[in-house]
Amino acid sequence: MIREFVPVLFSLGMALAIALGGIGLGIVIGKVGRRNRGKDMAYECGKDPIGSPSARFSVKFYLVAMIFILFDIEVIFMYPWAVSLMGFKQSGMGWQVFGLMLAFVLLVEVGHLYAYQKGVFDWNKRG
Amino acid sequence: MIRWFCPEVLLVLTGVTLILADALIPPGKKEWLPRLSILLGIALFIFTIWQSGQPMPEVWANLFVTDGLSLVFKPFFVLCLVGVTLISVRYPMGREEVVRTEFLALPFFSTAGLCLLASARDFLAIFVALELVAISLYLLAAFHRSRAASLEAGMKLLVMGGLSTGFLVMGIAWLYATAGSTEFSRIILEQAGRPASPALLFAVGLILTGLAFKIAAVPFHAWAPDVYEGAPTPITAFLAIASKAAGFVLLLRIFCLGAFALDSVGWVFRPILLTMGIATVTLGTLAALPQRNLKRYLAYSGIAHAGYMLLALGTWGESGMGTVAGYLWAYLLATFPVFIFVQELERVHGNADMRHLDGLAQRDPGPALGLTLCFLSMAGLPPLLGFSAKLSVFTALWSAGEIPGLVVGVIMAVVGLGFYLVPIRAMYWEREPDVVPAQRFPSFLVWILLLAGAAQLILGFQPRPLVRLVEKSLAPMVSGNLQGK
Amino acid sequence: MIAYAPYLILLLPLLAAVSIRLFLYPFPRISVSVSTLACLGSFMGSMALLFWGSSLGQGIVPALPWIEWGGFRANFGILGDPLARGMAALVSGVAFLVHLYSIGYLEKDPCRSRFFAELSLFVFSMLGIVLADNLISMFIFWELVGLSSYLLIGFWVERPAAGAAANKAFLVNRIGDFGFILGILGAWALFGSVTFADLPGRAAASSPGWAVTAVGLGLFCGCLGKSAQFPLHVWLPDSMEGPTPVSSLLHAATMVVAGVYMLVRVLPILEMSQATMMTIAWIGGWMTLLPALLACQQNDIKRILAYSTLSEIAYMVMAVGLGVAGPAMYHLTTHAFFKCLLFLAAGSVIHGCHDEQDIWKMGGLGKRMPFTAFVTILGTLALCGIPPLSGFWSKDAIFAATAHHPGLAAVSMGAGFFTSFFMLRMILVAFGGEPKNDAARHAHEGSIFLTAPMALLAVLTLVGGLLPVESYLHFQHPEAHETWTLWISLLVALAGFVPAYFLYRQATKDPISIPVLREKFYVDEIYQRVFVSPQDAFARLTDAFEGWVVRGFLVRGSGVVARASGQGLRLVQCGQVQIYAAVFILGVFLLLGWLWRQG
Repeated sequence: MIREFVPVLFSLGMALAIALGGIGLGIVIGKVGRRNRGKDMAYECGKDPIGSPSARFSVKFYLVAMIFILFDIEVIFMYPWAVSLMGFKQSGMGWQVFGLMLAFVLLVEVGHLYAYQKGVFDWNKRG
Repeated sequence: MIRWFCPEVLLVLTGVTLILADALIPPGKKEWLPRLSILLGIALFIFTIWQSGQPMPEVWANLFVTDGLSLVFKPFFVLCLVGVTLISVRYPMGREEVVRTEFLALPFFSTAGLCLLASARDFLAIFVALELVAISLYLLAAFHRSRAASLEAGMKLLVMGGLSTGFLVMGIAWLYATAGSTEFSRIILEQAGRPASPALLFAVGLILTGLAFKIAAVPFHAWAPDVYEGAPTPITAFLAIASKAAGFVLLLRIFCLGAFALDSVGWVFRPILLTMGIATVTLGTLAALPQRNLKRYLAYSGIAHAGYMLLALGTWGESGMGTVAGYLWAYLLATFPVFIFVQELERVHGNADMRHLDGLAQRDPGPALGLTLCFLSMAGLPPLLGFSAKLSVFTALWSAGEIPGLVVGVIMAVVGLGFYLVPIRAMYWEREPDVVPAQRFPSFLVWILLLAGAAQLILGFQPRPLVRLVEKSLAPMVSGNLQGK
Repeated sequence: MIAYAPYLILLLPLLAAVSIRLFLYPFPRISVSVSTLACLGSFMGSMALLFWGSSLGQGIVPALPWIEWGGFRANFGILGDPLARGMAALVSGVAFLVHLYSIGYLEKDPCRSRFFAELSLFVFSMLGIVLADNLISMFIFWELVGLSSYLLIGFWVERPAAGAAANKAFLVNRIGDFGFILGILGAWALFGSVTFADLPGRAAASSPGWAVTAVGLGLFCGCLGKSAQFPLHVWLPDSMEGPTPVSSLLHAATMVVAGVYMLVRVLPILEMSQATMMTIAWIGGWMTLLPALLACQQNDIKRILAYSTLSEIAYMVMAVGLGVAGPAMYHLTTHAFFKCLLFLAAGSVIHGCHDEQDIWKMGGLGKRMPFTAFVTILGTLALCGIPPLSGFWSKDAIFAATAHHPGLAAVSMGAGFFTSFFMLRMILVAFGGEPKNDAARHAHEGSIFLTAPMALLAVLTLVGGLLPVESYLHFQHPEAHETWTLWISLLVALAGFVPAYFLYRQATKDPISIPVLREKFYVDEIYQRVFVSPQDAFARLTDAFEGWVVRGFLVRGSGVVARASGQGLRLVQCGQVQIYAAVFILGVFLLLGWLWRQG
């Protein structure tokens, strides 16, 4: 019973190691730079972590975030597809399943292209 | 190979094409895009009509089925799309003019979702299709960003839609938990011959909630008047007709053809649907009386119509089902022309207030005549099409022995006559206002309205084409018809 | 090719009416020509059908299915038997002549577009009655004919009398139509069909009884209204307020005989009940005599002719009641010619005398309008059944059928006496003697449009007896009938001329005055007392009810309820999405609560 939780423990250890290791290595290897208030603040997606919750900021922020999530989630579909593709290949449906994913990627790419052409990624453009 | 080119795929491809064309073609050179979208819409309509002659039923991976119901309603949805595209092109957009192509492309995606809904035979497929419809509509309702009412409509639709979707998903989850599948045929196999468990009833109740929102049945109707009033008029038409029809197609598929065509579930839900129908008819009719805005007025009229269809659905028989299918087509033919008129009224007067109808018959006798026929058809006056529709609702209720529903329906039909006469009275008996805007209605409107009025008359006298559609929609299982006993 | 002729015949006038109303209204000249040409087209189509249509058999045009409701079935079919073909030719032919006449008669009327549109509508509906292959579609055209009659009687909208007459005609016809529709429903209930082709077979297969009698009488009610027989005859004299071409076409030649045509169509049903047949025969018999009596004391030239029309239609009704359809249809045909001629002549007189209709204010017109006088005399001789004019042959055939019914023979031949009397009275007063006023002194013949149709009709009146009617009426001239009917009827008719000649040769005012005839047997007054006054009282009562109870209590009450429910709604429909969501959730709870109770 306990043994089943060993992987959980393992991944917890990994997470801690990466987080602490990154900071620790930075302290050990890095050069101590100039510090200011801004640099000492906790990182919160480029936003002031403390302040009025109803502050206005560019709507672009959400657009980029949404498009990022869209492409992120794309991978959720790709992962099981990649795992089972070989199985489909053996049963003779390889190309069909491959084509399906191609169509899916193309569709997502249309969205990407559209967003790009509309200047969503052009941070300085007003709109 | 041909089966890959079903309407849904073509609709999505058309939407993608429009969006890509909008992105890739430099501004100033895409004035032809609206015209292209209309042409593509009409081509798709012809395609669905042609396809509805194809053999059936055909099952797709247990998710979708091509049967009578879907073949009859895909042309319905695409016809709505054509109408919406036709008037979207003329919608006065103001500052949002630059993104008009999106306004034209999104309905294509939404319609693809509607067509999928008409074929779906698995709750997962239903859910995905429903969201495709709904998300496009959230965007479209809020599209006219520079108008506060439009934004408000979009927001209300989003919040209420999200709420109803939540209940729907909850219902589907419970269903999966009790029946072990989301697929209609499996659920039937699983449940046949058994008394319905409380958990199953709970699941179906939650699913019914989600669909009742779609058709704006009381008490899930509160969003409709506000959203209809605020949304851009083409989108209001789409919500009022296509989206409502989708709800009914789903109800037909779920309760009559598919998952719960079971006595054990059906007998529990029959009185619920009838009660809901009675409440919906009553509220829609009474609340429409004091309305002064045409779009709100049509919203309540749509609620009343939904009530009549619910009453027919609640009779559970094949005549009730056929009645719903025929009623939807009659509703489309009577209501859409009025929405086209409403948009032109908004173009001329700036809003859809009913006082702009005063004395219309003297200024523009053609549109006034067409509108009058449409309104009278909605009221269900013989010999117009709406009369056949209402009559078959009452016949179904009578033969099912549902006397309370019949009595309320008839009383409300009489009261409804009063409120459908309000705009007619304004057009024919009120004096023209002293200041009449210089802008006139375009001539195409006159022809569309006259044609619509003529259609009410002709189909009222000769409902045979509609009866044939209805027979077809029930084709794979029964061969009842609208006019039969 | 010929199979499309019925469509052409039927739809051309409709097309003309619609296009005039929609597009050509402001252009009277074009409207007039379109309407007249459409009627000519119908006439040519009917003639083609009459001569070459016999090869096509019964139902020459595939019937369009129209209503199918349970076992009930009604089609839009067109009937092509000889009777319908002959009648269509007659109707469209007379209608065409009247169109021509109207061009001249209404040349100065600014509203003649409307007149011709309504006339075209009438031609369409009348041809519809003739060609309909079942009772239901016949009933629809029957009502359309009633509508066009209403419109045409009231054509001169500025005359209150015309409006009142139009209303009266319409309302009185409704009473008859009510019986008619009951008859149709009864026929369907009894025989399971309303198609003329099926009726003889179905009727023969069913057993006679009171129900069949009731159905027959119901159908006869339709005839009573449309053909103005007692007790529904009161509208026809009043309808003379309409323009004279209308009186001529609708109220003499075609529309009023539609009832007779319908009776001939349903004869197999009527024949099953002796009671029905005898009722029809006796109503017809008495109606030959009574209007003829009334006409003797009328002064309006058109009313005199209207009463004679009542009397002549009664001959046809009596013939149907005696079971002889052939003579009825034969008399219908010849009557159409000579009565139309008489009315057109009367119109010519009225036109010539500047809208004067009182015969006592005319006089001396024989010298000033010799052609009109000539055709009037010709028409009169035909009407009185003097050989060899057309009226003689058809009346003789009807009299022959009364040979075994002495009572009917007596009244109908007596009617012949009075017919001769009042017709000669009319001619002597209007055309003989000296002019009584300036209008009559300056009377003159009208234009070629007025005279040409009269000339054509005069020829038909003259030779109408020679028409090959046997071929389409299934009718043979009685060969070996008892000749006493011929001689007696002829003698009686000639005898009618004698007193008229001596009384009215030099009369300047009526030498005899019989109030009961002048006042039309007080039928209108009786109706006023018995029906209209109580009805008015009832109307006042219902008006009070409407005012106090319906408008005061129910409408305002329901308005209050609606407003209250609106106020109630406003609490919910406040525009706040939070409240909407709360209502939504409440709905969910309600639904689940119900399920909880059930499950």
